Amino acid sequence: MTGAYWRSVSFSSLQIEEWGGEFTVFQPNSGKTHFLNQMGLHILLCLDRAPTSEDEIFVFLTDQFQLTLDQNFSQQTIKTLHRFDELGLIEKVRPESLT
Amino acid sequence: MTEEQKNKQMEQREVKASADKLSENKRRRLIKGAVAIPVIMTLQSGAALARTSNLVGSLEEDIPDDSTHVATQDLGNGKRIVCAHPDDSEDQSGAPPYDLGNAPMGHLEPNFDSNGNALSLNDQANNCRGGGGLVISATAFSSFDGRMAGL
Repeated sequence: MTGAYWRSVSFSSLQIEEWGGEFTVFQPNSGKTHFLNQMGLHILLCLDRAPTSEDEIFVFLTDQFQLTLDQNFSQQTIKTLHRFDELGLIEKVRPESLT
Repeated sequence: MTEEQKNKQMEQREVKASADKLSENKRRRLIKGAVAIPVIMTLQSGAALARTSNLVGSLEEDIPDDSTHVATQDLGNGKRIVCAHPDDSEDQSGAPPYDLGNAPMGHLEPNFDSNGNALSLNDQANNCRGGGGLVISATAFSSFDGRMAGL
């Protein structure tokens, strides 16, 4: 089980500014400004490189931030992925398009 | 300074150092906690904030004639209560606050009855409420900055 695959949407159009380790992200497509912590931004960066499965995202984040992977962390991360999806920052990738 | 006083002073220093250390650890836990889950918050646009400014509460209390809290206007014939109209096309299920919609509407209550008797601000307020209107504060009224139609 690797979970759904995700990829970023129009990442290059985002205007990202760092504010003391946290980030404001202006999304021209929606005209909205988002506030992300480091982990939130790392998800976008990760998905900009290549379509990534949920399990791979969990491993990437726990490795980057030296955390223990548990159910609570996975659930929180999935919630964030869905929020990113609602905002049009990322999208699910159809499995057939990966092959 | 006696030996006892010296010992006491030393103990106090140790307690303070320990407290400082605890406080520092708490701060570290807080910082680590903040980064331990991904966070995204979307800032409201200015347009959305402006839109919510058409939400108002209503004054339900008795209005004394010397009230400066309630919204009134004097067109030269005495103070009249500003009676705002909730917008029926908006969802008012969460009221209060009431939604006055994109184009806030209102009217000035008459300050005389049909027999020519003067009406107090409280009488005017009751007439406004009786007709489904809202008695609003002067502060709320000023936030519309002349954008309330019908006055």
